[in-house]
Amino acid sequence: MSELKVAEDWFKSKGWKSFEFQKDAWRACLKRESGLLNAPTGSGKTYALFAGVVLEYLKAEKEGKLKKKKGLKLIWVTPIRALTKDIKNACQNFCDDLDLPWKIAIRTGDTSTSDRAKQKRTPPDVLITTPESMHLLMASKGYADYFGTLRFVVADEWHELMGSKRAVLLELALSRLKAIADPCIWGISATIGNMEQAMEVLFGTDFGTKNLRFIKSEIKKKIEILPIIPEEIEKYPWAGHLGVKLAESVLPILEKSRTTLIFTNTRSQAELWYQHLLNIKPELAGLIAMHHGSISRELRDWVEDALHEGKLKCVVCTSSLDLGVDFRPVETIIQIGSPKGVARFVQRAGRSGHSPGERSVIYFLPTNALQLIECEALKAAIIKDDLEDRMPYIRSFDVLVQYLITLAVSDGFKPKEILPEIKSTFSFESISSDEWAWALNFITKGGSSLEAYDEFSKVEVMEDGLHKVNNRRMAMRHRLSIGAIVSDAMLMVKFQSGGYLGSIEEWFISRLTPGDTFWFAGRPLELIRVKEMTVHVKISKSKKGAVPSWQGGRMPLSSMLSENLRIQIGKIANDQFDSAELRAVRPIVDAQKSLSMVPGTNELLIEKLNSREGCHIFVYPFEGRFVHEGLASLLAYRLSHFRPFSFSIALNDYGFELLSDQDIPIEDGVDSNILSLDHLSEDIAASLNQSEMARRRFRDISGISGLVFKGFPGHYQKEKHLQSSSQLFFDVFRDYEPTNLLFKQAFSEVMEFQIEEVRLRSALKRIASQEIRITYPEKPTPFCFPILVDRLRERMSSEKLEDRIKKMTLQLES
Amino acid sequence: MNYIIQDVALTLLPERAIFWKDRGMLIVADAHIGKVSHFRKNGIPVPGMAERNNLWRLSGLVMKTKPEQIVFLGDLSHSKLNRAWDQFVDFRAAYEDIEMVLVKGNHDILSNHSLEAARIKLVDDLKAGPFLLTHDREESELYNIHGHIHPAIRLRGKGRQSLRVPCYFFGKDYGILPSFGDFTGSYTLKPIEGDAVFVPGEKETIRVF
Repeated sequence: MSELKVAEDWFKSKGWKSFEFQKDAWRACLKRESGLLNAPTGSGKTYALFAGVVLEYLKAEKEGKLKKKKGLKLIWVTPIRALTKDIKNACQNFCDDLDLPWKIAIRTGDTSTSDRAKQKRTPPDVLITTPESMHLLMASKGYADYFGTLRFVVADEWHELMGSKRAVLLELALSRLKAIADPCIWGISATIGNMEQAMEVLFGTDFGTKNLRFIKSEIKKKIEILPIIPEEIEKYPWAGHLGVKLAESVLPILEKSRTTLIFTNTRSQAELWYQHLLNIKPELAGLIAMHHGSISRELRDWVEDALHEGKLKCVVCTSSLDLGVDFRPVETIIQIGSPKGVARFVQRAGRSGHSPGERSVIYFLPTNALQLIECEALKAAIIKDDLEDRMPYIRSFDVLVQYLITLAVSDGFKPKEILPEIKSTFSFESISSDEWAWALNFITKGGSSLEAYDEFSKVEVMEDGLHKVNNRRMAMRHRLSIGAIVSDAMLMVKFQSGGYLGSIEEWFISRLTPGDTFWFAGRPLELIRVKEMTVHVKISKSKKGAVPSWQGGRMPLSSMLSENLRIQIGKIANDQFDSAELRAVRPIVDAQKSLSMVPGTNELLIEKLNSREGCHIFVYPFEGRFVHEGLASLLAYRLSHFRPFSFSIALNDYGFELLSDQDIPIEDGVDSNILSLDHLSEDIAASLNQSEMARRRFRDISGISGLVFKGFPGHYQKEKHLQSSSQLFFDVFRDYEPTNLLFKQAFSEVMEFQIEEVRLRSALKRIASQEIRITYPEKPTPFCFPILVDRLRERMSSEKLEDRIKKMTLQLES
Repeated sequence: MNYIIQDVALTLLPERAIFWKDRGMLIVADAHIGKVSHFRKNGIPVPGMAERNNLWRLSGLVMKTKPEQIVFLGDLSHSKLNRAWDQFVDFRAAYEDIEMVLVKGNHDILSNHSLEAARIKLVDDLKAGPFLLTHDREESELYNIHGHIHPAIRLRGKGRQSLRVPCYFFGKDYGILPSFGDFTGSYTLKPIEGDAVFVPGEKETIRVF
């Protein structure tokens, strides 16, 4: 026990009591074990591992087992920069009190060049960083020495990383670090549906072969969910708008709580709410702020500091505040619109009520009336502990290509040495020798070209087999594009007089002309001009303007939430209005029932109606938008066997719509079992060929693999001659190199993440056991109305291009 | 598809080039020879086939139309000399009877010497019948035919379908050719009353506006 004494004493000196899971983690670190710590934010998880790392070091020092005292000992990886400061403070406090002269440094995209150089010359003892910055370090010469003294790596908020390609970046980085220094590896994760898989992804082939620890904290928080119910539900919009109609009812909530966080799903919604709250209660000026991903770092830092100090009454935010440090003054959360998933809702709720034993309070504000049913579903899911799985990415060749070039940019790599490391990761365990050969060929010869006159150059193969990038410009370009977060080209928004406000997507600005007003960072701004990558603005006197509408917020309803939603829909079908939410939504349910029907759990509802636009078919599987996208394409494809059709598709989380200028023979389709599972894979593949899904997926892939170089502020003009678009690449690969693994990856990503094939199959299986009910409402029903106004239109056509063009001509001319 | 403009019949080929049959003139805009190679040279692996296909398509057109003269409306080559240009020179040599003229474009930074060596005549513009042929738009008494902007058009159909495709675009005083090269991108135009827009399909060119 004495080995833990230092940490226990420190806890005592702070007046805290160490939890059992913390002591477990300390013991495990002392034994130099690796594993996963399952603990929620704000439970003391940082000290569970950091103190363990220090204890282990002191022990090794005492036993004289340290070869070198100087050098990097711990890398703490976190998915968001906002967390770095708090982690650093926590670690620093501990070291200071122990008189341990460790230097703790932060390295993220925000770290200045001079600080980076300093960190390079004299490595800190602890480095707090992101997966991207770790790769950047691996792209600099001599990185193996730099990491050589490493004893521990901690992957914080692992559940958050796991569902993205950034996890693949981390897996690859870990595989290299294991070979260099064999550090102990720890993940920290909140509870998710697939906890065991989370471990498997982190440890790759070590999982099941090495002894790994799983430590769980027993802290569980109570959550109180309070719906905000519109007074006159009949007048409340059926279709999703921004819910601002309910803004008045938010004011008393703000009044009685010390600080409130208002979560919205998109940045545009956040801007709108911020603006609207100020309009209806001008006294909030100075007490209300906004926080989202496009706002400048400085502004966000200011908001976070003010939150800490309790200076703000309310912050309107997006997922940018989902994670991260605790803001003690926050007492209340308001969720605007569907949170889309149970886990996200729980996480957001957990941003309030921090003291142990205190409960979290979250209000749910529906943006359309039907969402009240979702609120009821969330409550049920939370009681049952139905949390979502996080789907890991596998075989992301775009990330692999980037990683190989990263290694080639620094000290070079030898394929034979690096392949076993890559194969030890979860993502690339199954890579075949052909695929490996392809990857090497792609970076050295630029694909399948075999010709002598080809001038492709990037990674050169040296005489000793070392793969290396020797061209300095190319190396620089690569360093600038390391990472797995791809966004639209971003422009900086600056005041003409100077002063950086944040960044905004290029396509949004391209719709405006100088003189136009738009809202950004909570202010009305007048566009003066766009020069290179900078948007010059001044404060506008006009109060009206375009609300920036950013993409995003297109997350599908999770399977857990969908499942619980269907149970609630089944209840209202049977007139079981057994809660305030369901009773409130009753007038709308009655309208739905009189125009059409509400399907029971053993029924699938299809509505067919005609309008000026053509013939509409609405189908309601309640499976989330991605599954609906797949089902809609499938149905469109199979219907086209009757005769060639052009459809356009619209969807939301509850159902989807097919729209055609001809009558859609859905009745014949149902008679011939059009939603059966037979030939599903072939039919999905065939319906996908004509869809745009893969093309959209390819955007990220071409960015990550370095095909598309967006240029960076300041580098914009210089590299302009190498700018292109993922669209162009998609077309040339389709026409000339369809076997390209990046091109193929776009299609498999569509299957896994967009179509969610597994979910799609189980949805179809469920539908097969359901009775299909077709109704013919005379006007749009409450169920279909939100879909009608939805904007995302997936094109899908089985007609020949030329026929389509001819048909469209007719309309253009009329 | 033949389109009569200024009393002259022009064939708008689905291969994205105009053939003026009465004069035996083939007009090609924005071929961007060497663009793919330029990317590859800088370590960006565009499939090399995309480069060769440009030349194959050009050869195919020459065989199909048997022109006496080919006018390139600028941006024939994408950048400095590279091997794609050497291939173009081979192509040029294979058709020595055909006169080839390049109307200078913003990407045409090849030296006069290289062009002379390839027996390609460089001009700033070219007057031909009722037309002034240029790279970018020029004010003129004559009807201006040019390239440069890689026009495309967005077609919409019933049921909110939409499709973006390269096009030929003819306004009151000017006509614009789609870019000939693959991997060149495009810019969407919106026609107004009086404009004529044609879309090159797989086998035929179709008037859409």
